[in-house]
Amino acid sequence: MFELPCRGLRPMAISMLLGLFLWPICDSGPVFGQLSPGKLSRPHSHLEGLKNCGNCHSLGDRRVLNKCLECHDEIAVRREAGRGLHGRAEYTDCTDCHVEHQGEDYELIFWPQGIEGFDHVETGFPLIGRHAELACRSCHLKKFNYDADRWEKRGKDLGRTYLGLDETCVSCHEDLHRGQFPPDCTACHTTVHWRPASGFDHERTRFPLTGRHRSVGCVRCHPPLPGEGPAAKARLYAGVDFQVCSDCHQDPHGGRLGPNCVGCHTTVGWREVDVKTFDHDRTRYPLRGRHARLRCRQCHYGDRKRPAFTACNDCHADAHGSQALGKLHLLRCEDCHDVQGFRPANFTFERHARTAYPLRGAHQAVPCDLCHRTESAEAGMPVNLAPPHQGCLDCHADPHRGQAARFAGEAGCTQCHVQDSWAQVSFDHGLTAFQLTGRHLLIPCRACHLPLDDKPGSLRLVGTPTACAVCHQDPHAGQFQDKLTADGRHVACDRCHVTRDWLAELFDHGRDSRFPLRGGHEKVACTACHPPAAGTAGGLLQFKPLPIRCSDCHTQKFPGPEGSDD
Amino acid sequence: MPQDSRKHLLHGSILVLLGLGVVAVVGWTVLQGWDFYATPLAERPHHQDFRQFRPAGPVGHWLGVVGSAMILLLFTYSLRKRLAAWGRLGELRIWLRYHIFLGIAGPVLIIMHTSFKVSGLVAVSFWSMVAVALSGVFGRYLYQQLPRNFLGHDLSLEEFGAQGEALLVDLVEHAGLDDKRLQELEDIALGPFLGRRILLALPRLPLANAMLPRRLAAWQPSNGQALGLARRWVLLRRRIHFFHLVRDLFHWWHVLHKPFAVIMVLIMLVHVVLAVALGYNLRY
Repeated sequence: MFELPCRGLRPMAISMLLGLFLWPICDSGPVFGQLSPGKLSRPHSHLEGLKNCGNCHSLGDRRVLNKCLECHDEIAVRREAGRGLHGRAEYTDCTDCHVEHQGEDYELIFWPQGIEGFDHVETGFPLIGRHAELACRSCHLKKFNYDADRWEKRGKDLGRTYLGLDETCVSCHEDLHRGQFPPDCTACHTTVHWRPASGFDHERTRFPLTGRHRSVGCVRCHPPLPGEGPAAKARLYAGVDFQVCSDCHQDPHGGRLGPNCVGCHTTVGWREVDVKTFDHDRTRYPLRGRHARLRCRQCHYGDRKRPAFTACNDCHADAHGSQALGKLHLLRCEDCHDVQGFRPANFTFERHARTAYPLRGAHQAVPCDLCHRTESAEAGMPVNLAPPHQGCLDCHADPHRGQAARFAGEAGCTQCHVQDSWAQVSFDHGLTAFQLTGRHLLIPCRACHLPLDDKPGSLRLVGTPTACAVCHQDPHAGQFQDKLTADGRHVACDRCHVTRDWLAELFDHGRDSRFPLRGGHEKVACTACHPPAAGTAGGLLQFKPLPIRCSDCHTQKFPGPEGSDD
Repeated sequence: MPQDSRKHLLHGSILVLLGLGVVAVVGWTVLQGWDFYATPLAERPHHQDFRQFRPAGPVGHWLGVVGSAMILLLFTYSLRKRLAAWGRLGELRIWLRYHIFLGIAGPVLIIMHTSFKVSGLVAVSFWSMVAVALSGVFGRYLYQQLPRNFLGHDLSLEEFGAQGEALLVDLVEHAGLDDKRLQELEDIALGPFLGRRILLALPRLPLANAMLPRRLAAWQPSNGQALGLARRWVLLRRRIHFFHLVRDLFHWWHVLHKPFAVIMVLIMLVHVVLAVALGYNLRY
């Protein structure tokens, strides 16, 4: 058998030979690389070799975290800030997830539920809305990587990494607002849709939308910013002038009313004027008088949003039905009327005096419309500016119902009446068959002219009885019934009495009685012979019949002169 | 009970208990980590038990430590053989039994430590360990084929032949062995190996030994004692036949077994030193 020269060295020598033989059999590659427990993954292949162990491993510390972070400083930053998946507290060591020495084909990034099953919430950036529908590489692209250049210089494969994305929207999305707003787009927009900006509340801006501003499309106030391509979608949001309405709206007042539109108008509508704040005095037509009490819609309605106001009839119908057109002095309403009301008209007496019918007397106190009536009772009918005035009866009814016609003549009513007062009558009663004399001149007409009926002013003027007894009571209690008037219907009082007083001035004892007074009888008081009638209180004297025989009176002891018994 | 038998029983019991302990540990590890071990290598790093059962994990690491310790410990057998100062520390064959146990249990634990995945330099150590272990089995077989006295000392071929002669005397006396029957027994003993080169015939020895009871039954021994004597003579005859070859092989087995062991332990030490240097201590 083969014998080795030295028995003690044989095992060692054979061991070396075996080692050299087995070494390449067991594995291939650089000699010292065999100290490695396995090949590094391809991204770390540049770290293969014994000299490179120290790049990842530290003596006495199995944790490779710090060594990893020396190269992967982007991870170090995230861990330091507690951001992202690698910043989560449960991930204490890189090798918890990224196991090395598993071969160059080993995929260092492991997705337990597959990449599609990865819960993006763990990154601190949950995928919601449209983000949830996107494929990973729709976002994790080189063009969105904020540090792409530096990483590429360091040899990193940006097609593999899922890092380098900023959480700000504009890191992936174009800022359509071009920096007008803070980068937190989600304050207004959602990940479900860009439009509408459901999180945006114009109320929180310096210009809360009210009224019709709410229904105005955004683009009406926010004009596009200059630019082409996608940038053309940008609109001006920040910096829109809104301090005064005329920043957006044309001033229909041409600046006459100043820039403060909201002093009058509201955002509910241009026509919607805030009556509480609107000052019509600032317009060219300040409201005065009854105009101030009108509601806006009474003037501003329909197609009369901006009614003309140069003439009254721009708004008001001509109450006079164009009757004034032919009268130059009446062409201007304000010559007669003012804004305090249509009535009373300021058509003064002086001006009326210059008309064909100057107002005199009581006519001056008559309301205009008593004469200037409408042709019809319907409202709005024109007022008759030139009522007939040739005669009183053109306006007045004849209270005498024609009884005074025979006395009126051409003068008409003025034959008796004056314009100062109806009751001031200047009738010559002498024209009648009943001359007024004496006390008759002092008594009111109505004492004799009694009403015809219940209608006011209706007096019996014609056929008024003239007999005294019609008006007067018979104080003689019918003692003179035999003394009748010519018609024989009444007692003829005027045989004895006159109208001046009740005294029987016309009575002639000799003529009118059957006992003429003579002698001493003339000196006797009447009551001496005409005593009060029996049964009366003394007011009625007994005139008839009286005895005329002497004895009828003197049978008695007539009282003599004072102190005598005769 | 003789003292030799008591020692055999004591150490046998200890080894059984140690073996049961190793089986329990390995069984527990396999049961607990079955899902992990059954996972393809490429997917294991993502397995939930990866951190526990990977070589650097708590379970895998402790398996490696204990297995390495066992492997280091089995080298005490070599020291026992070589150091005169250790000559009184028990019988060598008892040391061998522990050596064999450690040589089996240690690699088993190391295999569990590797989680059935080896690469790099330590793979050399691993496969050297496998080679050492397997060669140990083969060496144990060869060792059994070499005749020894009751003290375990190797016997010379002459001493071996004298044992055979003594057996033949007993066979003639108790089984009435004549030349014809002796020739038949000679055929049973060496027949399976004749006509082949002895190196190629050796692998047939285990099978031939296994077939021996049947062959001896066909030989029709006169009684049980004759059968026993015949069996011992046939086995002895075969050992004598292969004596030179087995002795040479056993010599060369040492040459191979030891270098593999040296390679294994050296690389293992490198592996351990590297692991410790990189912080893979027993703190987790």
